[in-house]
Amino acid sequence: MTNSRTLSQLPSELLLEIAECLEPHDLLSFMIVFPSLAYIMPRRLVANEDRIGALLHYMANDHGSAEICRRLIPRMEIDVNATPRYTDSYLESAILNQHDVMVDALLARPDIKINGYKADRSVFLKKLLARNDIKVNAHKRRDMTVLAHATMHGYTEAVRLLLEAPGIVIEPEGSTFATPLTLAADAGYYDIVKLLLPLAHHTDATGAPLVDVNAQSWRGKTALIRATLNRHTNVVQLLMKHDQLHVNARDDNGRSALSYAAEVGHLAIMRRLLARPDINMNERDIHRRTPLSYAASGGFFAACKMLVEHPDTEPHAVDATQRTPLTHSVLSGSVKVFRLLLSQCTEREEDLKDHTGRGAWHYANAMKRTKLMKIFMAFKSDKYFGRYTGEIEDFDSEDSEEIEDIDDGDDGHDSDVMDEGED
Amino acid sequence: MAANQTLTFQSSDGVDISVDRDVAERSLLIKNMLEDLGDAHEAIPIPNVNEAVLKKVIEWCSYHKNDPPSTGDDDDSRRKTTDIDEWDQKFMQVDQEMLFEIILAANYLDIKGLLDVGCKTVANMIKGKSPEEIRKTFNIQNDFTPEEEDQIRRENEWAEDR
Repeated sequence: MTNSRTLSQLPSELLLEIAECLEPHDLLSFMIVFPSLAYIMPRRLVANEDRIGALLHYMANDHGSAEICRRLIPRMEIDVNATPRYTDSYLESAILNQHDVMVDALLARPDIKINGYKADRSVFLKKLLARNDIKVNAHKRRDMTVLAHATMHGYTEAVRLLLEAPGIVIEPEGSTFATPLTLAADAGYYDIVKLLLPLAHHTDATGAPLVDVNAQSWRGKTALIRATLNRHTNVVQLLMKHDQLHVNARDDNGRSALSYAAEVGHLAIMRRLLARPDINMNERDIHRRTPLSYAASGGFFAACKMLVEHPDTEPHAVDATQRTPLTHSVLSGSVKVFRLLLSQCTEREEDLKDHTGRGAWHYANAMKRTKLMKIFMAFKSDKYFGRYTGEIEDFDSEDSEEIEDIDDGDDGHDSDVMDEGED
Repeated sequence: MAANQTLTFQSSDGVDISVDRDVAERSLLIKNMLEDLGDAHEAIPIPNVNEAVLKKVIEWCSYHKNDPPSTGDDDDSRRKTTDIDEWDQKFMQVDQEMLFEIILAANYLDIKGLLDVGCKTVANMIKGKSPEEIRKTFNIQNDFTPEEEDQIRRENEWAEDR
């Protein structure tokens, strides 16, 4: 007769047979009792998932698993990069649970994948960056690097740490994704833009600047255009201070920051752009429309006034449909913009026709914009009798109110659309 | 081959036990041996299993002699459930020592069904317990010594499913 039998006297192959019957959570407890099983636990059992996760998920949540980590994780056939369905990656879980043994074991794996998720946790990041073999430029999911991810979410501290990391590539070559600067400008992360901009003066080993201030992404939009589109005035201001910035850079639609600022009537940004001596006031997009054309379409009086007052502006530049800003102002119905642009007509530009053969008068008539028609006729007769002075008079007292920063249009007050009852 | 041929097993402690051939053939070890050697007219020694355990094993085999044969090693349903049928549950109501002896005997004699029931019984004892409770339940002091560990690793190197 053999000695009295206990569980620990069973040969390891029989312990594995028992392990076959256990769900991941119980398997972990079993393996904590018999950590040596980690050397031989079949990959299939390690990968086996219950509703919450697989063995490695439970290990990350249990500091008692240290001995298992040391034995199991170095086995290269064990997949440490599996993406659990409902949870963080194993590495992230281990970091979150401050399971240092597991983190170190995972980071020791040459094939460990570190993606950008949760890069906001600077503790996590510091831990990763403390390793000199860490792949700071690792990326997954399209072309987003850890840096890009941290930038997109505005994790300034994480960005700072990453920018200090040796070997960091800020703008990966061939990446189809937006650069960190564009991402930060788009989201209005002023502090991150501030961290990135000085790096434009530094070069990598190949002589290329670390940051391209004018890098284009998303249909050719630069950081300046993204910041303008999203009305981040402080970021625009910051970008414009940079000596390498191309203020007239155009996107795939041929539009510049000024074009977009004019379209939304953002006076604060326009004022900054117009202060640049190199600003191109008449940049034409693929539809040959100028910033003034867009501002007129939007009915933004203050924006139009600002543009018209600039000496370089061509007030009657026609677009691809041969429409002038004046024609667009009729279509927008803005009385003030119409009067302003009409006052710019010296060479009978008010009579310019579009590709359908219609001009400002035709549209005002067709759209029953009677107030505009009256102004138009008064303008014509004054001009005929030589009385027209070119001055802009206030038509209605409530129109005189100037809008300070954002030109929200004036169609609420003096739109011609609803004033038929005045006659 | 006679339908109800009787064989004799000799346990490790020298006791002869008669067993019907169809019952004995639940053990793949015995079945293969009989196929290789032809009929056995003498007592078959079962050196690793004592009388008490051997009787339990034969009891299980007798009850399950009409079960369909095991389909092979990769029986997925086994892994998914630790349900044990009622008779087997009662059968396994033994002390731990006997339980592990049965598992060892089932493994040695290659009786897949009995090995499964044994392992499931142990798994059910482990379920829901913390490591400390498992240690207490099974009176486990320590894991293997470093030497034992090395040995396990060496022995199982070939088995790693790369």
